[in-house]
Amino acid sequence: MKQIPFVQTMQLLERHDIPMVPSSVFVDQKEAWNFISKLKQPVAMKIDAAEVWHRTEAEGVFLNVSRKQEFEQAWQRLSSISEHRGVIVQEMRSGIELALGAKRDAQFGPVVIFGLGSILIELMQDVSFRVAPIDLAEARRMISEIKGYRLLTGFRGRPAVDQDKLAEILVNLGYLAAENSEIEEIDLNPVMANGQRIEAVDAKIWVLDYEE
Amino acid sequence: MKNKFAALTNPKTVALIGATERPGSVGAGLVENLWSGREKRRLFWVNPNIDQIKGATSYPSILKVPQSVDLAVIAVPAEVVPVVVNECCQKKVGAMIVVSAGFAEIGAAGQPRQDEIVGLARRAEIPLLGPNCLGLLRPQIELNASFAPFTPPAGGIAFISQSGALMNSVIDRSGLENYGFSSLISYGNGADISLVDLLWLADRDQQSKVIAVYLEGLDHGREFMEVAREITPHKPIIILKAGRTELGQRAAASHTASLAGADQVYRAAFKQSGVLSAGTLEELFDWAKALCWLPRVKDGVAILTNGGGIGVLATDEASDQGLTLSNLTEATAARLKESDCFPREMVFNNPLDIIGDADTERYRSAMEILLNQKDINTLVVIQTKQTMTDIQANMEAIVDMAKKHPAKALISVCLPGRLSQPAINWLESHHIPNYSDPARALKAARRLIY
Repeated sequence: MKQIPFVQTMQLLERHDIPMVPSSVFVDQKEAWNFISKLKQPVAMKIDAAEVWHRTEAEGVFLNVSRKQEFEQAWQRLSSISEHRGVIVQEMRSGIELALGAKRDAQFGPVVIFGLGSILIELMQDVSFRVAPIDLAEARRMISEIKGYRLLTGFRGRPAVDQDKLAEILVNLGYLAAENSEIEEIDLNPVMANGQRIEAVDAKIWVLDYEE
Repeated sequence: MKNKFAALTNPKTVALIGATERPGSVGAGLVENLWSGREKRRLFWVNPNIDQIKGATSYPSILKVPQSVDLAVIAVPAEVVPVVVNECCQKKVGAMIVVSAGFAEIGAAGQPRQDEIVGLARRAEIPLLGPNCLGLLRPQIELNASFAPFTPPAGGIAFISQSGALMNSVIDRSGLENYGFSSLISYGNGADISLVDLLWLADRDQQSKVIAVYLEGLDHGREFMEVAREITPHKPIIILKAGRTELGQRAAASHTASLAGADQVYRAAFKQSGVLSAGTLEELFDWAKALCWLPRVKDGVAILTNGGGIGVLATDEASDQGLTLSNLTEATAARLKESDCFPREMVFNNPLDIIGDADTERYRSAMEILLNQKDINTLVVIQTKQTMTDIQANMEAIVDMAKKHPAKALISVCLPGRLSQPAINWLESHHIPNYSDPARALKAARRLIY
C-alpha cells in the first residue's frame, strides 16, 4: 500500500466536507519561512513522504515552531528523510483528541471507525465500527457506543464536543470511503475537538498503488 | 413469485443416491431418516451394487428411476459426485443435496471438483445444497434428508448451520429441551445455495418464528446485510459467529484500521442490519426460545422473587443489560398493600420479594397486580425451592397470567432439579421459557425489546 501525497489528501477531505486544520505543503524553504513568519503564531511542521507510516516515529514531526532557528533545524531534519515530497506546515490546535478512520474489509467493503485519539486508541482499543455509508442516526449511535463517551459530553469542565458536527463528519467520511473504491485505508488521527471546532490534525490515505 | 426451492423444502419424491443399509454409514443414516417420512412422500434408492433396500428396488442410476424426482440426495464418494450430479441434471430433478465431503473444504485439491458440480447445477438451473453438509430437516412434514441421529420435535426455530457436526449436537441437545424446529439446514460449503437464500427461505416459512444461525464466514457481506435488514423488522435473526479471535486478513497500515479486525466488522454489520449477535451456543438457543414463544415488548421489567439474594442477582444483570426496572406506581403499591395475601413485613419494591414462605396465592396476586401496571412489559418470576414452594402450582399460575396478558412477556427462573424439572417441562410445553439462572433470563429478556 502507498500513501497518497498530503496535498491530495487535503483535497479529498475538502471535497467531502471533512474539516482539516489549515495546512500548506512546501518544497521551498524560503517560501515556507515567509509563510510562517507572517502567521504570528507557532506552527507544526511534518514530513510528507510516501514511505513514512508514522510521522512521529520517523522523527518527522516538529511542534510549536515559531523562531527562525527552530524552523531551520526542523527543515533540515525533515528534508533529510528519504522520498520526502515536501514539508507540511499547520496551525497548532488543542482539545480532545479523537481518531476517525476507514478501511476496506474483505467481506463487507468500506468500514468507518471512530475512537478516542492519541495513545488511548492503542491502549484501550476503545473504538466503534460501521459498514459504510452510514446515516446521521447510525453515526450518533457509533459515537455513543465507545466506553470513553463521557469524555465527549463535557466531563470535568472540559468543553463538550459538538456531537451533531462529529456525526456529520463520520457520515461524510463514510461516503468518502464508499465512493472512492481505490482507497484502502484512511487514518485521521488525531482529530482535535474543541467544542464546535472539530478538525483533522493529521490525515493519511492509503491506496494499493500510487505512481509518484 | 414461485418458490424455486419448493422441491428442496417440500419434495413429493426423493431419490437417495448412495443408499445402503451398511451399519454405521452415512448412507444408512440417510435411509433410516428418509424412511421415517415414507408415508409423506415417495422414496427411491439408488445404488448399483445393491439389489434391494427396505424391501424396495435399488436402481443402478437415477436415470433408471421410473418417475420424476423432486429431490436428489447425493451421498457417494467425492470422485463420483460430478458424474452423479450430471445424471441428476439429465434427469431434471428439482433440487440436489450433496452430503459428500472432499470439496473446497479440503483446499486446492477439492476446489475444481466443487466448481464442476456448481457449474453443472447452475447450467441446469437446479439448486444445490452443500457439498460437505449434513442435509435438511423439516420435522413438521416429517422430512429428514440428513444423517442426523434422530428427528427433533417440530417448533418455531429455523436453525441454519454452516457446520454439520454442530447441528448434530444441537439435535442431540434438543432431546433434553422443550423447544422445536421449523427447519434445520446445514449448508456446508454453501457452493450454490447460500446463507442469503436460506434466510430468505426461513423468512417465507410460516412455521418459523425466529431464525438461529451458526456462521463461520460469509462471501457476500453487503447482500447479506440487505436481506437481513428486510427480515429483522418482522422476524428476529440471531447469529452465533465463530472465529472471534481470528486476525484480519492482512496487516493494516494505519493503527486505526488495524483495530477493525474481520470479526469486529461482522459484529458492526449485524448491528446495522438488526441481527442479534450471540456469544455462545447457550445464548443462541436461550434467545431463540424466548423470541419464538414470547411477544416482543417495550422496555420496562419487573422481577418477582421468593428469595432476596437471587432478586439482587437479577437486578444486577438487568442493569448490565441496560434494562429499566419499572418503579412501582402508587396504585400498584396500594393494591399490594390492600391485598391480604402479603405478610406485613414485606417491602413493596421492584424487585418484589414475596419472601421464602410464598405460596401460590401470593405469587398469583403479585403477578396480577404487577402485570396490571401499564409500563411493566416483562415480568421475570423467580422461584427458589423452599418447603412451601409448590412449583407446579406456581407454573400453572404463570401460564394463566400469560394467557390473560398476551402482549406481555413472562419469563420463569427456576433451577432445574429432581422436584422442579417436571414442572419446568410442563411450563415450557405452554411456551413460557424457563432459565436456570437469572442472568440467562435477563439476557434473553433484553433481546425481546424492540
